[in-house]
Amino acid sequence: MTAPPLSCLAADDAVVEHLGPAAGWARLRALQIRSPWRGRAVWAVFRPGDRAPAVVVKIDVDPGSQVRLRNEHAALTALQHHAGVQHSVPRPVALQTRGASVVLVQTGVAGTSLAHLGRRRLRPSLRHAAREHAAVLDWIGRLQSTDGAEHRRLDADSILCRIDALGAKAQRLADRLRASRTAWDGLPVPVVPGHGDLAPGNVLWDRGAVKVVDWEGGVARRSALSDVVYFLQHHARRREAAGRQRRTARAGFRAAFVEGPLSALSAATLRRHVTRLALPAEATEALFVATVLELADGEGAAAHASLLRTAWTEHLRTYAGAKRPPLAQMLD
Amino acid sequence: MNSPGVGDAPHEAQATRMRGRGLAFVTPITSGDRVAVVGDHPAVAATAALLGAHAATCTSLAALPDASVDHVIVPDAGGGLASWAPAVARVLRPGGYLYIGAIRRGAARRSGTTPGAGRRILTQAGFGAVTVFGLRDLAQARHLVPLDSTESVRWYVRSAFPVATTGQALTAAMARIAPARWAGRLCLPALGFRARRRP
Repeated sequence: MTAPPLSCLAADDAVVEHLGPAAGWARLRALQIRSPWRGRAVWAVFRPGDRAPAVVVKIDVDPGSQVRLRNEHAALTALQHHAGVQHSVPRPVALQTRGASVVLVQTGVAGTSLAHLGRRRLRPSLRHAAREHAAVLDWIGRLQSTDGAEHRRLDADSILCRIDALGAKAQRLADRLRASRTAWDGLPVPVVPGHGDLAPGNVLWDRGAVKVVDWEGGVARRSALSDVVYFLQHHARRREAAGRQRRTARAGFRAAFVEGPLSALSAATLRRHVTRLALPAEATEALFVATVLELADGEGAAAHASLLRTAWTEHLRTYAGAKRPPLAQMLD
Repeated sequence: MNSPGVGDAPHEAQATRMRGRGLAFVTPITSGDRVAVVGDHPAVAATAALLGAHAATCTSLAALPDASVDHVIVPDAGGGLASWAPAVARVLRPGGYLYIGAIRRGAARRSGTTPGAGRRILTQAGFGAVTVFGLRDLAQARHLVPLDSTESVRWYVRSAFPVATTGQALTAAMARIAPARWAGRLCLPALGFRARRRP
């Protein structure tokens, strides 16, 4: 292969070791994948007969976003030592700096993204959504199962102060949180490794197993609920079936946490995760609000934090204005 | 790969601004190369400039001297591959690269070209190392799928073909069970040719 992307990698021992001698690369084929980022190109490289790409090559020439590829390489390297998820994430092969470009090579992962699976259906399916929630929750549980997790205590005064600052519309939420304050004030929330951009497009479904790609946000420690909340919101946003529109960020949040059949499912998923973390189920709503506040502060989602702060601040207003969201009904 | 996940689908203006951006990576552009982008595709030229190339957009190649550029990118040649090939061969230095997008001829469309015909035209015009890609749409060129790779076509149909309507869902369902050659025809109605001018 004389043209991109492999012509520039022939001198890399790790790539040659993974793909075989460069002399045989003429049989490899590279599919260029769309990237929304300026100065970024992504290729999936296939060997004859393989179902999944042999490697995925990402090249970034924009100095502003090259750090994301370095983050991803560091994350994938760290995850190779994580027994719970090491087989469900790509393996790093090489990271190079070539002139003005940063080149990341990682192994390909089999599977179809949850975003694509949703689009392929002819009608929305709550049953499939429940199955996907359960599988992703299980995967998150494995990612978070590390020894020596740190904890961050919920500070009721600080949270209630910020809810009060949202104005009269948030009064109902503030009252509910005050009523259940004893269940959550000072509660230690684990701070554990997280993905930071756990959207359905980054979650691959491979014959019932979940695999996760796109670790450009790194694997920094985050609140144990931030990946779950982020996933649930983005899962509700995706196109549920062919012919349906993808929801806006706000409509997706409403569908995920405020009203409709998906919101009841999301509430149950969130509650299951809270129970798994050995936290009291009555604290689920407070933990959710605390997580949304963290996301609005740009703490939870590292990959696109600057873009998401405003969105999550708006989501908090939306939630605060809801009359009786499913998470509140759980307190009854 | 996932979009940032905020706001609505990209506005039309944003889509225009990003149009064909990935095409700058189809040929091996390196720092200092001279790149000619034909048509209204400023994003392609801007991305080539990020790669360190001297990139310019133009509406035709007539004004360019012989053997004056290292890469020519024609994102949308419509059905006129035969008329573009000699013009590109003239302005491209020996060993330089060409990318040209063209409509695919099929049962429903008598204009355009086929992979075999396009390959023949380019070979006759003095090009070698021709790779043929399938594309969903010429202007955006989001995914470029090498058509001589069954694995790539299958993966694209299974994992990336954009299913927005019920009709597309049915097309995708048919493509998943069809032979790869037919799957490519069903899901990739445009073609992209990458070729190298013989030294």
